[in-house]
Amino acid sequence: MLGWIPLALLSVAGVISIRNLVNGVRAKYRLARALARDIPTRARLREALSRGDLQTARSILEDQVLALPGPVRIRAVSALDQHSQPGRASYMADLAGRGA
Amino acid sequence: MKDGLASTAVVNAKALGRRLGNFVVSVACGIGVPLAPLEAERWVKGEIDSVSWFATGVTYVAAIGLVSSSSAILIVSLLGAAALAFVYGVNMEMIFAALREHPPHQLPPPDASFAKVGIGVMSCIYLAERSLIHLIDNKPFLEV
Repeated sequence: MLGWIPLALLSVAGVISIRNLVNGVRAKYRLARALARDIPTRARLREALSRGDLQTARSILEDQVLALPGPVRIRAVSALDQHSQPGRASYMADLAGRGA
Repeated sequence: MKDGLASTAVVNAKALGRRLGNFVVSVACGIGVPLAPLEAERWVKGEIDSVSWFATGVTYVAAIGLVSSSSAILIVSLLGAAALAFVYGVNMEMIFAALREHPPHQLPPPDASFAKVGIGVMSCIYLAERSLIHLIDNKPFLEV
């Protein structure tokens, strides 16, 4: 009977990790889809990325990120925060459809 | 235009290969290496002792929590590891109490099912986390 306590706790951790994964996939998919529709923004993003200007690239994505729903937006902001530093352009390059 | 598309496809294929490489290395280091002693024991003795399941389980649950990027998973995993250690202690206490009352010829092993399930659950959590980090967020293994 006592053995179910650790399993219940680990199940909670499992639910949290699955939720994080789903939110991460949704955030990236939605941002990529929004950019695929918005050709001028995508072009500006590509240009900023080709210059290596990650802060500008991040600010270009602000509007797209703000349009996302609650938990997905939080996840997208976190991912962009982590990828706005030098040498970390791959996430935004993915969104711009360039690969990295 | 065609050349541009082809070069983009090559770049994307390389990026995908790099991500998969990071993911595979991460899984090998995070699941393969910590659980290798259990496989070694099975190889040498033909079976894994319950005490080994619990010892590995408690350490593994805590370790996966510690390398997690989510503080909620860290806290819940540490509590889970402590609870698993408590279950092990209670199991052993019950066995030794039974042994004191009716001494058998051989000590019965504690039930390691919960430790086995715990290791399985934490492996799934690790896989989910690393999928997000390496395949979706595209972070290199050595930068995490």
